Amino acid sequence: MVGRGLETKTDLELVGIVQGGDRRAFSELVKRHQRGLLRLSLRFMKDLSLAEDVVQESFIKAYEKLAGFEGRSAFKSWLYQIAVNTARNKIREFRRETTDIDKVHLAVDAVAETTLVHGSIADLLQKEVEKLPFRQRTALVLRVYEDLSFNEIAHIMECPYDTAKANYRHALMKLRETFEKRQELKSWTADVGGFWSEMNQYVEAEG
Amino acid sequence: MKKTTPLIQWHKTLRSEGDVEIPMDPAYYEALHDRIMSAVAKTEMKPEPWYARPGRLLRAPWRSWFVPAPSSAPSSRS
Repeated sequence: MVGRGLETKTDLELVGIVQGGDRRAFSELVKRHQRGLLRLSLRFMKDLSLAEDVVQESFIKAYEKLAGFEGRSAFKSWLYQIAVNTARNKIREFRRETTDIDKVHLAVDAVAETTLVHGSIADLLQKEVEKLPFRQRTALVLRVYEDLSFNEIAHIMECPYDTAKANYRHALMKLRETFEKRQELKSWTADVGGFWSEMNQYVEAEG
Repeated sequence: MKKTTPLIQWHKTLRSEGDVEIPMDPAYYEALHDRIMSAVAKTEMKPEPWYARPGRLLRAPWRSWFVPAPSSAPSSRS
């Protein structure tokens, strides 16, 4: 009966129950948000086991800090803020290893570029997004893949609204520049339903 | 209206092209949930910091430093 009761409660109500000392309510919060958090973490970590670590650490940190959560923002935004910071710290921890991996990837890319037909736009996009600075990548991921508003993104990134928007816009501009510079990609992407022309329209409209 | 159409198209295209694959098996999420909760069981919730609520901040002992001196107080220039 208790479990069934918890399922119907809102995130804020569950937070209140956890703050009152009932860990079972936190279990319900984990069930609700673990999938979304894993998807977000996987975008930054690129490795499922590392992404799982980020999810676990994020929930532990959230539990530790829950007494200070006042509900001024949505629990999801607060949790995502913790996850983004945790992912950033993890990336810093593994920077040396990640750099080595990147070098290997770049070496492979040099060969692969001549035979782009064998690649997919998804892989290529992912690689270009990975090259973006962390804040720009965060804004892009949260806006495009998580479909969050700039207000929510600003809260998660702990920056003003305009900064969140600027980071997103700069990410788009960089992607556009990269793809425009590479002529072979320009003709290649033209086959994919005018993807970049749509993107250019958006960047110009927003500008 | 002109701004929204490209945005929606752009979102759909970029999302479909760049979606990450996450496990779909419910058993995977049950295992992940159990792993998280076993770690949480060993964790203690930290008490709320004293400065977390404005009311407590106002009652802080050093607050008097911010309170303007009464007009009757002697000026430092004199």
